[in-house]
Amino acid sequence: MDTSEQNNFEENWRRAFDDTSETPPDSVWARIEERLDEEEKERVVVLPLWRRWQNMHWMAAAGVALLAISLGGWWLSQNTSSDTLRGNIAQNEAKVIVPNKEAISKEQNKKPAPEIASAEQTAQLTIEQKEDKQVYENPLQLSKKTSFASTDNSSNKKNKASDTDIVKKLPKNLAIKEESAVAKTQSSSPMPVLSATPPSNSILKENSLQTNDLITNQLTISTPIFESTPAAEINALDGKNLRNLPGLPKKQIWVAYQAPESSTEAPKKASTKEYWASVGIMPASYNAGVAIGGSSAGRAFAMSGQNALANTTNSTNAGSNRAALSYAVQWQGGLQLNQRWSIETGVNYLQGNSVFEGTNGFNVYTNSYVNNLEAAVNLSNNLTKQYDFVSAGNDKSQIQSFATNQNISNAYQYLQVPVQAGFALVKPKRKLSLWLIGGFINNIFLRNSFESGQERIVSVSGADNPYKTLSLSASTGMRVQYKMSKRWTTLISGNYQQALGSNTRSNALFDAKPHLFGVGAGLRYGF
Amino acid sequence: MKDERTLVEGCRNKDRIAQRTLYERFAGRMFAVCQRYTRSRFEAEDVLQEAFIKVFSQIHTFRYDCPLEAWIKRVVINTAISYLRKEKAYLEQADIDNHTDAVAENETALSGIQYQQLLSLVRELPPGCQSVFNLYAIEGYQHNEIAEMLGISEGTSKSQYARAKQLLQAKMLESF
Repeated sequence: MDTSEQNNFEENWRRAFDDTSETPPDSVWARIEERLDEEEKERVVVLPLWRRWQNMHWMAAAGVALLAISLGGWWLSQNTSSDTLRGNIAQNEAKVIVPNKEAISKEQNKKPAPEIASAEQTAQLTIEQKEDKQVYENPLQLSKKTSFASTDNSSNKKNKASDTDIVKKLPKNLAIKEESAVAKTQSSSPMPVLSATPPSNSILKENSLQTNDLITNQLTISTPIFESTPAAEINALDGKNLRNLPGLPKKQIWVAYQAPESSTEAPKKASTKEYWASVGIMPASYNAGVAIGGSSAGRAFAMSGQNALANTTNSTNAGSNRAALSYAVQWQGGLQLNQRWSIETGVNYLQGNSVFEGTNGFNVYTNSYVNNLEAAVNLSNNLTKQYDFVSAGNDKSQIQSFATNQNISNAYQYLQVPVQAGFALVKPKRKLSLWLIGGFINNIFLRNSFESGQERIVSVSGADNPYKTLSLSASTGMRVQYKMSKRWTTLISGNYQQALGSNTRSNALFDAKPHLFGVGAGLRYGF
Repeated sequence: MKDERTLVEGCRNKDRIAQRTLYERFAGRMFAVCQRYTRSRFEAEDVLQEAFIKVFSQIHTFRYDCPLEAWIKRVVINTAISYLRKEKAYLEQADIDNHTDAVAENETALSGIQYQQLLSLVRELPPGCQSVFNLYAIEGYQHNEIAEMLGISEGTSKSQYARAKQLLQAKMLESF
């Protein structure tokens, strides 16, 4: 018997049943709908929350950002309140009230010192990297098994048929794999082929048959475990990783899959070199790191002018800085070079609030730091001659020579231009990734304002100021990124900045080496 | 395709109209599949119902990596096999190791034979033969794959198919 005729048996039956349709009774849908209603009622408690959650990316992002800001604020407030209490104690010990220039009084507050609450906070960030079950899309390869007439009687097993792969490139990367199977050798008695005429709509039928063959051959019943739960059963039906399922045949008839190169390589290629822009806010703890008498000029000034003025022997260098609640608004852009590396830059506006706390020492007018700073500003502005040490020194009413301690708020405004590199510690395989960030920040000085104890606010800005217009800081930090969608990513970052050298001019009377620690949150859009 | 995606998304959102539309679009062809795997219309309706319940509950696992119809058909076939297994209605035969290909000498063309008549012939096959015949001849699976799917040996699959083929051809010669 001709092998083509042998294969005709299957082919004929396939044609006979392909594309057949039989309308089921309406009662079937009624029962399905009834079941669906029942399941809907069962799920009503659980499902809506999840389904809603899927549409709540923005709220999720806002929630995360709010949480981060709250934590940062709380951390800062804990530190600030602790410091403030400590400062209050010092102030209470020696509080200066200067009602007018003629009256100098000293009032010692006898109130018991409040407890100083020490707050230590350790933020530990644990990132759980779920095992990424990366599922590659099964390549879609349409295969059509066709039977060719063959006179080769040596092969009598269909399974051992010689295969000829003819891969045709089609639009949409579809490849048709034709498997020519040499039909089984059976007895050679001729078959009474009654008719080879296809049904009346032969052309249409042929076309549809081809389609249906493709579809039919894609079918893979992937699980032999029939006692499994419906969910498992359906999962097995899923077109992914069918070969990896336990109990499945090593060889599947997956006739339908995409070209491998496009499925495995494309995602990686697509993920490289992505540009992004982000906006964020970072509550921070900013310490101005001011040290009086940093330069030789300053020391000379302190020895000659102020010591004489104050008529004391104490140096004014003794003082400490402590951080106050600050913030930075960040606009940044970057380029993700690959899955591991990124470079980024941008513009930050930094409002750095700090407190200078004078310890011990004399006090002229209000505070040594203020005087020093004011003088430094004046000197820097070439106004030295106008600073009348003599007359000031003669005015003893302005001098308080007792020990005191006073907090001076000291605020800075900077425009920052960071240039940083990012390295992914946890690669962004799925939604969550962890990045190590490091680089430099160019600080462009805008303004410095400090407040004296008498609510006098002194602003330092303009060209003639003791601060360098441009100073450099090192920056490092960690950032957690949560990819909400293809475009939007939520960012939470911790950042530490340390000035590289003083940000004051060489002839300034003091040094300032600020450092900053902040926890920020932001939102990124990828292009 | 876009329409199909809309339909799938609607079903994922439990939109009853989308579910109904999807059912109406595929129910006819899937019911025909169910008919081939079962022995009565009543059983076919049961399988169709169960299959579409699974389709709607698992539609979120559909990844668009194959045509939607092919995915639904897989669900239907698996449901049918599972149903038959539960009904203990197939694989009545033990393994037949001595498989022979000496069957079906008289090939019968199916042209002109009514679908219902062919369906009746398939349904008259012994249960084990019926499943193997459907999977091999109609769906195009290989015997080793069918063996894995049904939990039988490859030899059994071959012999079941040979028997099915023999029976069908005999019936066709007899009937037509």
